[in-house]
Amino acid sequence: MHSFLQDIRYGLRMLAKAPGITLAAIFAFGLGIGANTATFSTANTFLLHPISFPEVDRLAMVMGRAPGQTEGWSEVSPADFQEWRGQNHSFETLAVYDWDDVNLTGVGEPLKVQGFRVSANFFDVLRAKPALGRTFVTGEDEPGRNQEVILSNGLWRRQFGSDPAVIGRSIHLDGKPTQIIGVMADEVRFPVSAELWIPLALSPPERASRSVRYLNPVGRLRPGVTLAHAQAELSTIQNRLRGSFPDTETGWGVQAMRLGDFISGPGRGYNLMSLIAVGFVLLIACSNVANLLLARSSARQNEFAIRVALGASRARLMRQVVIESVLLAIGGTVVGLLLGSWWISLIRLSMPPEVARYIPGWSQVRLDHDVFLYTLTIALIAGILAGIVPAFQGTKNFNQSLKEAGRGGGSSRSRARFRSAFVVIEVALSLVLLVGAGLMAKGVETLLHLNFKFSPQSVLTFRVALPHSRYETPQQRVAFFDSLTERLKRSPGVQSSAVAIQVPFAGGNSNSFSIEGQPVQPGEFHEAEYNDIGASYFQLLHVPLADGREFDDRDSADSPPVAIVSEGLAKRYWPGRSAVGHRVKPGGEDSKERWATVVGVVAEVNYNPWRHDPPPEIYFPFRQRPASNVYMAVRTTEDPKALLPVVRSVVSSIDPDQPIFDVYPLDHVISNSIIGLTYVAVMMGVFGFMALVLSAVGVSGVMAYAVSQRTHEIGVRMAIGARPNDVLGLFIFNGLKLLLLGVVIGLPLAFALARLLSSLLFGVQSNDFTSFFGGGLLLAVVVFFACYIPARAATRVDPIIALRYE
Amino acid sequence: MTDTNNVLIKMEGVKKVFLTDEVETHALEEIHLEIQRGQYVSISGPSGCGKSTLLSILGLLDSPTEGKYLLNGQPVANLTASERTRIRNREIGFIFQAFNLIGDLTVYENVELPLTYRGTSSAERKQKVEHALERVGMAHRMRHYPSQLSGGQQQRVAVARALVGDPLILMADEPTGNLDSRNGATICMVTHDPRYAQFADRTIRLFDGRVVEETQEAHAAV
Repeated sequence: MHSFLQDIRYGLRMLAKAPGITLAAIFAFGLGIGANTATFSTANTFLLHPISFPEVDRLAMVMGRAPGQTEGWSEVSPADFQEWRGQNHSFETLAVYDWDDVNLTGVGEPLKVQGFRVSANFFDVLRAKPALGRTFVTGEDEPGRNQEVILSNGLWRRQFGSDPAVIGRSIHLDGKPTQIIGVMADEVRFPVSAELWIPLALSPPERASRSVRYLNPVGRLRPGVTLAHAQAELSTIQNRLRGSFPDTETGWGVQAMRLGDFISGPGRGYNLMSLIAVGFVLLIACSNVANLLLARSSARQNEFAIRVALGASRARLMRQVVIESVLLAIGGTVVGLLLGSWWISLIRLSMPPEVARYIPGWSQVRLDHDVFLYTLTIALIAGILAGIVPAFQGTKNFNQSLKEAGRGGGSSRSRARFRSAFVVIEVALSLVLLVGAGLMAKGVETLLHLNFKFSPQSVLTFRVALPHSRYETPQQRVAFFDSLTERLKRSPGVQSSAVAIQVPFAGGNSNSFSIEGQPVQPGEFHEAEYNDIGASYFQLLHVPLADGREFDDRDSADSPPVAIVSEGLAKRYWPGRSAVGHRVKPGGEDSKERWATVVGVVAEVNYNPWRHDPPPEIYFPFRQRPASNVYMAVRTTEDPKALLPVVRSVVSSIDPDQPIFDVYPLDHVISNSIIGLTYVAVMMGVFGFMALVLSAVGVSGVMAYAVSQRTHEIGVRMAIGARPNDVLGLFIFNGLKLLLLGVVIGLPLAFALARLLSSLLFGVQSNDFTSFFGGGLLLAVVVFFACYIPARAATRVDPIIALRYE
Repeated sequence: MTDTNNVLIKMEGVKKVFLTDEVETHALEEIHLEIQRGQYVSISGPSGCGKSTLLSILGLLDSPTEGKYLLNGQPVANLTASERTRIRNREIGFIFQAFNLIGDLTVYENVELPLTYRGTSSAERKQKVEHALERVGMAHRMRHYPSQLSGGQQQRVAVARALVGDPLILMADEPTGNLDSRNGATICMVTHDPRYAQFADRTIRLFDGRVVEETQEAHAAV
């Protein structure tokens, strides 16, 4: 122990004696460790602790799988849920929730809040305790008794000023008086965006429904039961249901997944990518430090020789070098923690709040003890990694090294080879990161470019959710939106306005449909994105008409149903002929919906940024299918944000109690929809830049060291006729050789990363030549200059040096 | 008597002053020197007398502060660095004190280096390098690295490298062996070892930056 402390003391003294190398190493470690700290803090939340409940590993979602579905999951019908709950023995019990936006009135301005209808046992399954009041009790989810609400801690603080007397108070949800019975603890954030929970009161016919799927079941596994066992049991139950109810169950499956995986699912790819990328940055930093230590160990050969002469073993010398490397890593940890802390703040600040509320655990992203422990662990690993090769090389055959001084002997050549190898590693990893950053940036650019044709920057969108209590009939809803559309159109600065279920990149609304005369096999179905739109929708979004006509005043609630289809759908189902005049209808062939005649064909619009191959689209006139929860789009000649007071005033003039929400310019909606991709792209860009800086420092350091070691040789070369350009070329050629080796090793890695990126993240093309070429070129330019500066210094060597004897 | 048509090197009033921290050090003073083609000249003197400085000026590694220097009838005292480099490469061969072979290059590559800088074609380089190595008896070691050779072998490789470009003059700095492969080249050798000085046709003795003694040996060049 004493000798260990002695090594640490000596190590600190040695580091203090070489402040240049020490600071450079701490800087390199600091960059690598800081980037890892920040990235891990988000990954830790997303991947490891996306949600916090007692024995959370026993909580699982039990979702459906639609026929042919290969990705994601489907919601579940009430009847299936009842069957699964009643027949399984794997779960203690199953609860269920359903999304439900509600309008909150009676507390300041009318407000739309994100509510969830839940079964009475929902919080019991989660074992979630309220901060105030109580949770639901059995029977409160019966129709007629569902008049209670539990507030989220955030809504309680924000809207009710953390009033402890709020329990028992009555508020209006969608115009209906409801009593507050509880306020949840702050850590209870499930579903992630929940602002309040109300009972899910299904009527007997609703409970019996098998064809409408909208429920999300969650259950707690019995102690000792594995997820695989639960999955097997549920599959058996579902097989039985397929036999009993072929009309609605054919092709449908069930899938159980851990609650944590369910929640972190969409962000998993991003976080894994970021973790891999930042791991590369740390490896580059380690290579840099290893190189510095190798250079230093060369200069310490005499010291080591004396130590050996005095009786030190090689193991002891190696321990000394590794300890010094670990001390540098600890120095880097201090820098890294500061950098990481700043970086985490920056990440949190840069995430728009309207997106952050949907990201599990976002508010928990911080430098906590988990992150601190991780940082210390990687610092220790990085220290050992960076020190191990210099420890081996620096303490090898130094007697021989002393004999070979001035002759370019084996040991120094071996160290030079290691230094070059580290540079090659840095170049290879940098190339991977730069290509990755290029691919991601290209992916974001491609996705944004898809929407440029809409001129989204001059379109304001907002959402309206009409409460069922006051807008129960289709006529009431049509009247509201007709009036809103007309009044907005007449407002100053407004060019046009339209209602729609979806706007581009807002999420998509995929459903099955039938085509008259084109039947499908049982269990199969045609799939398309639905959008119910106002008459001005296509004109507002500059979507060109390819055939037939757009919707107009002829298409009312009382007129025969009509539809417009996308060019993709028309080409797929009516190849070589016009789709106009053919008939389609929502749902399967046995659905009760009426056939709608296709009256027009329009160009493709992408509604779901996450679909690799956007499905075909069918548009129906809003007046024939008036929903209550919709988007409004308004095109303006001015800044869309400036329209907000006009919009609020118009809505208020129609219904003073009707709130609007999610008010954003369309380009903002689009950029938010791909913010995950943008986040990874920015992170990759930052990592790529860091890699570039570290590589430049590494290459330049190795070259400068080589120049200093080869000064005499340069003098000799110049004495026998080498011109400055010959010397310059010698070093640049050496540097470019390392670059080429790095590129040869890095390219296959970059290609593998590209494949992984394109499989994980939509919009990224693995064969994007520009990214590969651009990344390689950027790296080549940086490496060239990193070589050029020390090489230039080499050309100033005085050839007289050749006459001096070392 | 000197044969003016046969003069290869001529120095008149050459001075070299080094300025260090505003202190002037006069390394060479009023050097007047003529060296005939094919002559073997030894320059000797105690440490710090200016031998190496004179050799560096003679070998165009440095320029005089004052005075004239004619090499092969051409004034070379005030040439640019690149002109000096070109002449060094074509007209002068160096044998350095510690041989100065490049450790990372093989024997063949070391000898080939002056020809590479001269832009000689690959085939011609090969022929000349092999010939030079044969002359010093090192052709069988051409794939070896300097660290794999004895001191004597390294010296022979250094001689081969100096001779490979058929220089007019050989500049030798404290050689530790004889230079019997010089092939008719003029030799300027700096040494303070009388054993080597005795091989020279003529000995120039320097002291405190000045030529203080010149002796002409009776024997022929070896």
